[in-house]
Amino acid sequence: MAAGLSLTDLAQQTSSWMQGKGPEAQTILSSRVRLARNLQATSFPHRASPETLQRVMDQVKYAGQQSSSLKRGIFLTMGELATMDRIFLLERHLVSHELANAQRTCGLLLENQEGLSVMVNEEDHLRIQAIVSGFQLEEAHRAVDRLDDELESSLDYAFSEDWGYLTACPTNVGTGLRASVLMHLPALVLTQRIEQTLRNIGQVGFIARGLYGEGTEVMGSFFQISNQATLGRPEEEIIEGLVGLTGQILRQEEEARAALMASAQAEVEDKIWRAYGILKYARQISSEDVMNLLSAVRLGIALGLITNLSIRTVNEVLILTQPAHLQKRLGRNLGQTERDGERAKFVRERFSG
Amino acid sequence: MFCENCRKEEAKVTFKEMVGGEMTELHLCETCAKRKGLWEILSKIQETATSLVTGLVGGAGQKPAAEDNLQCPQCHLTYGNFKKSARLGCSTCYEAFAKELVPLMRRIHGSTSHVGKLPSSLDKMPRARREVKRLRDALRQAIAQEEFEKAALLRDELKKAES
Repeated sequence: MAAGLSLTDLAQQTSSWMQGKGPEAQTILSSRVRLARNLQATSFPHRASPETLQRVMDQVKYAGQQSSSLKRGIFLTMGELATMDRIFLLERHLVSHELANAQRTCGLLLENQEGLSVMVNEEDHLRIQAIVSGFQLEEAHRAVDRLDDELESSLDYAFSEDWGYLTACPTNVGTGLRASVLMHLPALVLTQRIEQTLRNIGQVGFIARGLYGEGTEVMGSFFQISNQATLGRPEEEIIEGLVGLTGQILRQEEEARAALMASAQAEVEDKIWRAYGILKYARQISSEDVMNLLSAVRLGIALGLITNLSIRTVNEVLILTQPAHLQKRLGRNLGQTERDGERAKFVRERFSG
Repeated sequence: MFCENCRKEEAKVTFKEMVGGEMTELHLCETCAKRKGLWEILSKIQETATSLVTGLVGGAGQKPAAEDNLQCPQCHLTYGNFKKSARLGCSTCYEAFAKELVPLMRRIHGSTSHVGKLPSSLDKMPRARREVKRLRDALRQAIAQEEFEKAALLRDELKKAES
């Protein structure tokens, strides 16, 4: 594990999940599966002493070194990282908000393509995560399940015959499995069908979250759909359920795109090309503007209007233009104006290349 | 409507969350929405709702109940602490509060027993026992719902599993 991948190396590489590969990658940015695990006879992180937390860190680090999935990865102790580096990991979807801001002893184990990771001493002792590009929930589950087996050969997990894997919060007990997809649903937003879609998702026992503007404003139009129950059904069934639901939402988005093009083709095309124009030529741009405009460009690629850009480029620009990423790549702190200028320059280069 | 964060600007953006059939909305102005940031919100997503649990067990501000004084012999967390924080202290808490947790699990998960993966360190026996239990539960449910064809199939499977 010492074989040195550093955060600076990460800033230069494209995580495997950003590569825009896999089925439905235009609409589904990533598929993610995580397992919550705790060590036997050890207080959960929020109740554990600093000595206990350190022991957990050591044990999980050792287990990682023994596993074939993580032995060439890196182990980071969050307390030793600068604030900028913590934000960098958050922007990259590698740590949660809780871990990035935690005061207690906690860390991150990371495989060098960044598809597999383990948060240590987050809400649970281990949060094992697999994240893959596109609609590949089964693949993500297989990867996380294999890593779980490997880690378990060096660790004793807290487990009960009745309740399954024991977790700090009862909402995660049983399989400890939370599966999710990050979907781009601009046409459901623009046709104002999204409300009904989200309601339906809630009624069949899944959780939907997203941020979007009112009326015709497309605020990114990204939504995350995940399972609610973790107990009482086998892992495969939970994954199948989410796969089925995601397929339905995909079809609804496709129908909404067809309806949109039938009723407002000129407006939609104008919106897309204006967004493209701003991204290609702007000299100052905020990361929020990048997110909104890229949403329109992403739709343009999916509709076959924009043919000289790949989904991979759109994914990369989305992630790599966030504040900590820009500063990490340039290796220095930037003020607001300079940052917006550097961001615009980065986008221009990617849009011309 | 004013932004629910700064209470100064007009709310233009809605953050929506559907949990357990309940939609919660947070109305923000553009400035606050930008400050909050989508990734920040999405990164919290895997971590389902403390509010879901505290809502079900009563949460802060509720009258004290007799079971609040129950204490875990291992980590000394009380059931009252759990009701406030929605976090158990250690694996022994699950035994100490088993009676109270059963109805809570039923409401969160619609189930009270694990049927998924087992640590490989457990031997094969419990896995077989678990399968029998799963089939028995499914059979009972099929009969209750008058799905007799399904019940007949489950009964055959159960016989096989028991032998």
